[in-house]
Amino acid sequence: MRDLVLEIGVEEIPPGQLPELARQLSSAAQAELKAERLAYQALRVDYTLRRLVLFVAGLQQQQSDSRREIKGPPKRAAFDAEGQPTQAALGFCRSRGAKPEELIVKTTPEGEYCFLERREAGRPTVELLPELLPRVIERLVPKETMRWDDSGLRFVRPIRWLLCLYGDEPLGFSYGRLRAGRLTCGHRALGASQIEIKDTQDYFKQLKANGVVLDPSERRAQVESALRVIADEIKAQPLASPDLIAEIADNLEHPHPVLGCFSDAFLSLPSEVLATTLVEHQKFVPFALGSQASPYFVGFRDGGADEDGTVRAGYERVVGARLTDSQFFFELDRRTALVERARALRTVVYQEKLGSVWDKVGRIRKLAQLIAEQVGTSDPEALDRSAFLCKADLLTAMVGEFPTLQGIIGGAYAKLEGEPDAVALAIREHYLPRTAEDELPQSEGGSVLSLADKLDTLIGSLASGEQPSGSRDPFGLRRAAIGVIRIALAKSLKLDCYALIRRAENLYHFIPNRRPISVVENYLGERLYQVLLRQYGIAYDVLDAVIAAHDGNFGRVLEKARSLEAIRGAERFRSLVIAFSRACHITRDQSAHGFVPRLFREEAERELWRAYLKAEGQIKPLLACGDFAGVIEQLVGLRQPIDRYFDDVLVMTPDRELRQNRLGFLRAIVELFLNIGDLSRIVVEGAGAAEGRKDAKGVS
Amino acid sequence: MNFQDLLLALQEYWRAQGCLLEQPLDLEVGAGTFHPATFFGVLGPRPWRVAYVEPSRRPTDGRYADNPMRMQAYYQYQVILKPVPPDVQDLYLQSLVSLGIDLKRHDVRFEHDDWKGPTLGAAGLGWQVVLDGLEISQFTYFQQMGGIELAPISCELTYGTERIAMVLQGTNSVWELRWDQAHTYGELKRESERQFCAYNFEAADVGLIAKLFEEHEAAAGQLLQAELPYPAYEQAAKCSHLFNLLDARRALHVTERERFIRRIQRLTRGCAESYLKLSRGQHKPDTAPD
Repeated sequence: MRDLVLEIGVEEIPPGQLPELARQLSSAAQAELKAERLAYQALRVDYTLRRLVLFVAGLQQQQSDSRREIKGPPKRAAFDAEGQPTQAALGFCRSRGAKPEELIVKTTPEGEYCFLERREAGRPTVELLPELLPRVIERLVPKETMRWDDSGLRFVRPIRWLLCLYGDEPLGFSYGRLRAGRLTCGHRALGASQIEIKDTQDYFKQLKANGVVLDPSERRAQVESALRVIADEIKAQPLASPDLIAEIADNLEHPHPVLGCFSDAFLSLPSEVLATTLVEHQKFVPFALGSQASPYFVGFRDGGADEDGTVRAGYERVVGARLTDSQFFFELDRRTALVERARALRTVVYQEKLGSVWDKVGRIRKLAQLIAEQVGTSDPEALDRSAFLCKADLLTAMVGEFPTLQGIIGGAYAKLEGEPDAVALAIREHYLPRTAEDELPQSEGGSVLSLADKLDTLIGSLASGEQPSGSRDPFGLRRAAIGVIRIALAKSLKLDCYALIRRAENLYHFIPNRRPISVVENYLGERLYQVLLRQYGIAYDVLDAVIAAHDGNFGRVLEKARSLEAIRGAERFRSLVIAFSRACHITRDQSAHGFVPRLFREEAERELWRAYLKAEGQIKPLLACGDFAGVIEQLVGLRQPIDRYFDDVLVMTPDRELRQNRLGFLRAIVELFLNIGDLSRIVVEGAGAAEGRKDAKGVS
Repeated sequence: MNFQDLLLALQEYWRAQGCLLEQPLDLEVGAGTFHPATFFGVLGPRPWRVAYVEPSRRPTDGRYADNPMRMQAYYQYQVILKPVPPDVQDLYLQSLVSLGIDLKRHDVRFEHDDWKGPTLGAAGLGWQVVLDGLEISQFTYFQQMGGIELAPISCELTYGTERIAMVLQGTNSVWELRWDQAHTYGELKRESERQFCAYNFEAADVGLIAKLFEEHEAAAGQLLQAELPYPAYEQAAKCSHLFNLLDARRALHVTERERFIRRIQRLTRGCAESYLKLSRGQHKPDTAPD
């Protein structure tokens, strides 16, 4: 057994693509080794922006032998009564170059058959790898690819060298215009430009000695620990998200921190502007002093210590120029009040069919008001003011320069203009959550405004014919829907989205060839299903049941689902599902509605009616206070009367009047259940959906 | 190193690498890429190494000479290598060394930055080269020009010469750069920078510029019909600068902006196609004896 190292040397790969390429390299190598029956002890992939490194420990030196069975004629055709091979058997053996004695008989699902066994000796690994490794590299599919010479190869950036060692043996395969060998190069500033590697152990030793930190998690740890040390020294706190740290660590081969400082004069800029200027353009880490911004920042150079301060001076020069630019935008912006900018939104097109951003703001204000009517608000005036101003910052120079500051800069300017804190905060928070994992708005105003903005995007776009697909979602509808759902769930708002959408419908009558409002409800329902399935771990059949009930209060849908999950294992629930499914299937596709008790003929009918009246009376208050477990227990009480009903009563009686009455009554029972959900969708033993369908067929 | 010596050193270095030393284009352009030596030079199969200074104008980047390193007019140094030598990154880094930049003392980085020039129908992958945090060059493997897939691939190296000079001279402002022993960059350029900012942002006659755009566009179209791609291309380059002026005056809404870009793109694409058609005609004896 020997170790294998493959190093793919590439010109600087965009750091954002590295983790995915490393993952692909690992899975491609595993798949190819498996396909060639090459066993190993361990496999890992390291990377820097200049190299992807596959390391396979304890790779066996010989492919495992293979055993193959060739199927021949059935036993009864292959041997005669005396057990002698027939012509069929002899012919089969001849065609495979085997003797009849080699035939073995095996039992297969089709009966007993003759087989021949063939063994193939494994090939040596050194012979296989030069064929296998190019296939591994070919399996890497970067997000973007380019050409760089006439070899026809495409990759994310030009591949410039390949190192491949199996133990101490170089495997000289060709790839494009390259030939793999034992040469690599060290860090650009700290290492040699050409290094000859003896063996796989020597590879890791040499790279370390030549200034390359191969392991991404080690680089990350180095960045983090350097930030801690500096934070202690200057008594300030680094503002570095895990994403920023990962991006810094993946953008170099040898991190070394450089502490810099900018002029205090820039501290008058909003702290978000300072942080964004440092982070977005330079990937520098800003520092805070408590809740205040500080003039300190740390950049990471790729190399060793900055002994004469050259790099520091450079970093400070750039930051100074960047902040001068930000200050230019800030002063320019402050000359025009947000109110004026809000009015100027008339000239900014939102979407072709949905008018200007000014029109959108008008709808957001009405939606915010409707939402507030449902969930209540402590300050309706502040809410409307924040709705009026929320998009004004789109016209600022600062958002032009830093689009990620939208909302944040509007909030900061609102505060500087003396707007109430609630208004500034709502503006700041109304884009949240920006992604499926992003934080939610914390304030009441921010939550309502975010809902209003996202619902307008959803209703407007979907009603005007936009339909997002897996790969195409230009208006971010998926993100908007998930945002609405997450806020509704997390804030346990008394918000009924469907009721709200129907009330808001008249705001969208201007759209030509408008699609019905139900497309919005369906779209939200589909996303709700996904969120509850993935983020809350609710089983799919329970989700089918509760979402079928079409309840626009998403917090309530979640509670119903949880109550069903809690009881689904119980025997009494199983029989309830079976009983309900019968009622459900027999009434499906029937138009009967309503019933009169005087047409009840059987005792079982009257008994179920009494039970129904009792349960209905109990369920109303339970629903109102959200006690869904209690509702389910009430429904469980109906199980026996329903069972008896089906035992004693012929629903599909030839008497039309009786039949309609019975169907109408069962329909009412079903409706009572639908307060929780369509329980027939829940998979329980003995009540599969298939059986349910059979029932329905039997009676129609 | 004075600013003018830096330009000389780059000329020396790239001449030694076998580049033909071209002279600047006599038109207002936003980048060295607009020079016909690049636009037409990267098309077709002919190997080509060229380098030149290109005075460039980007009206929207003007800051009335108040910003230490942002301005609307500056000097790019442009290199085209076709086909791309495998050690092109080293060639570039050695050019920095030839200017006196010690790669061990400084932090030199190749940072992901894919480049698209929509008006030229150009697209490429590459980096911005960052020296101690400052973007000093654009390094691009062209994949397309004039909307045409390139073979062979060309590499474009574009130096921000003022910025490199700032690092070498250790100044924090471009206006303090020494051009030669007797003059600073500011003495020579600051006043005209202010005046052009005032022109670009305030005084430029939007109506006139929009009209000129239409006329140059029409002229380019006629010249393309006449199969005169070089003159047609100049008209398209004029359109591109007029478009930049309209942009600086914020006279274009987002959708309108897109439409203008597509109009110029149509012209440059036509130029590229016409050029290739004609040059194939010229090279006929080489490729297909008949």
